[in-house]
Amino acid sequence: MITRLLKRFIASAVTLLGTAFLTFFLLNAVPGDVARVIAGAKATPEVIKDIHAKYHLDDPLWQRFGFYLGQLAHGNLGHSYVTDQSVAEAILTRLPTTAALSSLAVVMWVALAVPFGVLTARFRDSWFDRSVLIAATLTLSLPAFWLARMLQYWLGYQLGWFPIGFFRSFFDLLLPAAALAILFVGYYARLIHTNMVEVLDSPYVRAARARGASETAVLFQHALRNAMIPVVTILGMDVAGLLGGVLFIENVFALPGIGTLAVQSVFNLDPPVIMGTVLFSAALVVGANWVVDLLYGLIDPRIKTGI
Amino acid sequence: MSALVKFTAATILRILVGSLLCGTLSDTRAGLPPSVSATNVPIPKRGGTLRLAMPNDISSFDPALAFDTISEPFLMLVYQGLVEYDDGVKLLPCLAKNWTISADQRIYSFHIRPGVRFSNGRVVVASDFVYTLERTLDPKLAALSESFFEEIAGAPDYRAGKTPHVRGLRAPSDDTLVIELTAPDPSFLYILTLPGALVVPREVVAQYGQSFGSHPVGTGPYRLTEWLRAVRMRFERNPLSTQSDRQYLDAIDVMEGGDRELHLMMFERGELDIANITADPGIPVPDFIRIQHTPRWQGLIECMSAASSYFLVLNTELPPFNELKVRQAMNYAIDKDKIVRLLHGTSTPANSVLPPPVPGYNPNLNVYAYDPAKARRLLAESGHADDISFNLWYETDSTKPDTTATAIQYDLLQVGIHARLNPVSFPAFLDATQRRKTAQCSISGWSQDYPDPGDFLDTMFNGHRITDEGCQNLAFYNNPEVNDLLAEAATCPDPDRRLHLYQVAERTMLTDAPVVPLYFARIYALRQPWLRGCYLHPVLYFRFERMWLDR
Repeated sequence: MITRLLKRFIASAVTLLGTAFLTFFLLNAVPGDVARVIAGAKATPEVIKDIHAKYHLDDPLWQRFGFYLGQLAHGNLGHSYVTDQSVAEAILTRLPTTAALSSLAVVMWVALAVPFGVLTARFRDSWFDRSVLIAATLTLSLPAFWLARMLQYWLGYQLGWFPIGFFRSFFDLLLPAAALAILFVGYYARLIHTNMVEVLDSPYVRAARARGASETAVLFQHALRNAMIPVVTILGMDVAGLLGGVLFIENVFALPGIGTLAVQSVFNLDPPVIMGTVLFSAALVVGANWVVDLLYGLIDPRIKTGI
Repeated sequence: MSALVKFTAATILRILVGSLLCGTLSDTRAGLPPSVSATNVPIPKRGGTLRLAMPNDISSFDPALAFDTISEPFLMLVYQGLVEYDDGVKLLPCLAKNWTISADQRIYSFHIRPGVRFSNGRVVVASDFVYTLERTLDPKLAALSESFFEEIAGAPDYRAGKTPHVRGLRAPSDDTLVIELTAPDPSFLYILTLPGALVVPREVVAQYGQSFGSHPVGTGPYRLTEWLRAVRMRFERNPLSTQSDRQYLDAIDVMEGGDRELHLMMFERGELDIANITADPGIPVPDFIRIQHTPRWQGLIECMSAASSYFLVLNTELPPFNELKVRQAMNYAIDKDKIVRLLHGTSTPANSVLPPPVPGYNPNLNVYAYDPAKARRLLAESGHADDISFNLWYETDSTKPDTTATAIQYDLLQVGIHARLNPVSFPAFLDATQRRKTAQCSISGWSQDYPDPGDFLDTMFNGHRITDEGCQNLAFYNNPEVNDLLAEAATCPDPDRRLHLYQVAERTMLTDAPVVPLYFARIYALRQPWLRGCYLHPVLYFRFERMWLDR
């Protein structure tokens, strides 16, 4: 058990280190001088030289990477070249927004996907099942930025039902969370559908029906619980990977989260912040894997030994 | 300029603005705020919060580290300098009560206004200005407007670490500041309006060190009371300021993030008081025509010619543009009116490098009018009919250069010149175009730092300023005759003769055709009917501290 945990830990560390390495060297392969971005088009060669010295931009790449790793080992993500803000602080102040948006989206899509998944399994091959299938396929194929802009434009700007941007109150999260939820709900409805179909055919469900349990009890108490096990696993992974969708949604709705920070840092060519947000999302995925594995063991005791 | 992006920088290159439809707009020229008429002068009301939004954070609240058109209106809320602009480009006393200039125009003596306090309570004295300017010149700080102040006597020695202080900066008493220049510079007072000359208190800079930019303390009418980087800013009245006519608003709230389209939607829902404060061009181009024809917004669009010009740069050191006839052919081949039409009339066609608001602008200059037949003839004479091809560099950040570049590509093809479009990121663009013998041809631009022709002509066309990297003379143009004219103009004490010298230099330069002038930017501000005092300033664009809410 201890060796397994240790192996796991080393694997995670190597993953993060690899991410740091790749990001750092790819960033330095991007054409253009960071000092020039900081100083702007009108900067004189002297100013550029001063900025190079200030941020040690003329040191060899390996030395700078070593310095960065040294900082990282002390839990220091460095400071933004552009705003001089601590990168860790920038991420931490923005984390609550992203967490609130993601949680609300997960609640929305699970709350929708469960009844759709269960009912389409119960009424398999009906017109209802087929229309949900078509709708699910459609929502799955929507680009996040397009959907977000459409909701914003029609439900917010044209109809005036929702606020359309920035984060001042809970209501500002409704539309962006809905946009995020729509992107996932179809997939989860189908996932639950498939698992339910399988479970509904199993002997214990037939036994429950034979005992005279109500249809609601059969579907939601007996069948759904078992059908949800694989769904929970995938949900865990998706929550970690949600940052991809969050990136677009936050930017369209001007929410001050990790996604806007990441995009701004790329436009600014701000290496410390790019490194910070990339490492943060990598750590999130690695962490979510751990959590899912642990949860899995809790939900299904047979898996515990496998960890 | 500033980093965020570089906003600053990007602004320079971003092309927009202008107007076919300007007849229907209120053109707010210097000195004529539109809300004021002779018969009906509204009395400003106090109170309310101005609500603004912008796509990116400002670069810094350290005036030495912010140097761009986006940051400046906000810096001016918090900081002040010795002099300030009136509604136009005339300079008025600000923290300096008055000043005298020596007969040889090298020594400036300022009398500091007594009793002015920083927002931390301390009284401003003359040595604060010495400290501020020495700080801006300190190489360790890497101040962005540093180069403008190097003409102060002793500045190069100070920067090289040879002297602990700048010889030309002295404070003989608390209310007297003396600045000595190495040579006369008629534009020096303008340079004192740049962010690097806005006064900062040394004890607060010492307290916060590098993060002074997050804890600004100045003498301005407002204080920064909240700043969550790239999320929001809030300004409230500075209780120690005595300028009640700069403090009508209780507070100014700025939301950061989102794009121009989102901001326009929020504005139309009444959630913002100005649609777009990044003035680039102030109304998103896709919505430009719609907004102009919406009855609700009639009379609420302010419009101004910006002191920015855009041009095609021909690198005179690289073939084929080392040949005069080829450069002339490029000038004859491009139809500027068409480009302006493609940009929905958000700009005006340019025949010079100096834009209309800058002194010395010559409206009668038209060295090479559109004439494709002549272009073809010149190419044939030069022996290059149909064999010229090159990369056309431009920056990808905005859709406008794309429109401009394809239009140019088409026009050039009509005369047998093959331009390959080469869109690159902003840093890559700067890297290539400012490096010697790298980019043959690029779409570039220049926005004024202060209203003086030298800021355009001397910076971009003086052969003595050619460097191997980071060169602002993008055409690497070097004509001794022009160099001499620029050198004479730079220190010429007679204003009329000085402008004349710059005009001759510009005409001579344009005849040599190192650039093809394309268009001048126009700037728009779309405001709510209740917002008053919102007129565009030729240099600062927005002056939030002079606005008030009529409701």
